[in-house]
Amino acid sequence: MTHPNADACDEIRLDRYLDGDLDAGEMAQMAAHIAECRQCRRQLAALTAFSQNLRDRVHDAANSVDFVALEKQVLNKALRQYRSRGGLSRFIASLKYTIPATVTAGLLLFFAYSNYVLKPPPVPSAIINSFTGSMSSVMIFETPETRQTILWYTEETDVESEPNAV
Amino acid sequence: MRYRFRCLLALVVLPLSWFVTADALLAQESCRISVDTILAARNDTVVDPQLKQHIGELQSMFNYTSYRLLSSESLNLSVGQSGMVSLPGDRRLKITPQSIHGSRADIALQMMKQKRTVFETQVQLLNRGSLFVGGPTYQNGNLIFKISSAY
Repeated sequence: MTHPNADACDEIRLDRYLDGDLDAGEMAQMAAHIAECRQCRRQLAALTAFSQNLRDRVHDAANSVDFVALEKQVLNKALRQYRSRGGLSRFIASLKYTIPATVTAGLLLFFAYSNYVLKPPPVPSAIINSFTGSMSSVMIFETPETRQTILWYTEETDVESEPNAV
Repeated sequence: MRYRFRCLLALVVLPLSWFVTADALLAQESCRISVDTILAARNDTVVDPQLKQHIGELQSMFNYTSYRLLSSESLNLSVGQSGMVSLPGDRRLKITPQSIHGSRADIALQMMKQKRTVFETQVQLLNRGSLFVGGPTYQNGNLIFKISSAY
């Protein structure tokens, strides 16, 4: 009598019976079988106890979780990821072009400034290395500000005519 | 990414190399010499407008009241090549660039009057600088020769 209908001892059908997934006819048929089959009753009792135990544990675990804190934690993590993706990374990406461009512009400005704007202190416009000739007098001097070199000479025949030009 | 890096590198290196090598590349073996002949006198107060920029500081050093530009002549001379400029009073100025290095050109000048050499000199003339050579009497004043070089 333990196996009144061996074909009806189907574990899958028993699971579906327990879950209420069978139609009304099948439910009645399965209930009748369980009433007669001790093995299926034991199986059903074991499954029911396991399910209840599982539900209880899930319930206990859910009760122990602080959902408000978890929500905050998840929200903060999502915000951090969003900011790092949209904010800082974008800033760094822009620096990738800005820094070389700034360096190039700085170098160009530096060389342009040092070559064309920054005027060095004036140097003599001409340096006289040697001077020979037949003349009465010669003076070499330069203007005080721009240091323009001046060579002033008096030809032998001009001695009397213009001795004090300077 | 590699291509982008090369472009950026080129952007930095090319201007730098230009500034570094520009002087060397553009250094020429010839220079342009110009000789302006100025008559400085005291009989009036006329100063040629084109001279005002160049002789402003000279005016404070000389006691002349007028400066007139009598002539202006330019020569394009290679290193070692001589050029002659005719000057008032049967004078001639022989100009020979001897070398160009850095910002100065070594130039030999020989001033002649008729067939006689008045003086010879070797000068290092600043690029775009001038040497004022003056003294000889002419008409009612004195001649000043502004010798400039550019290269």
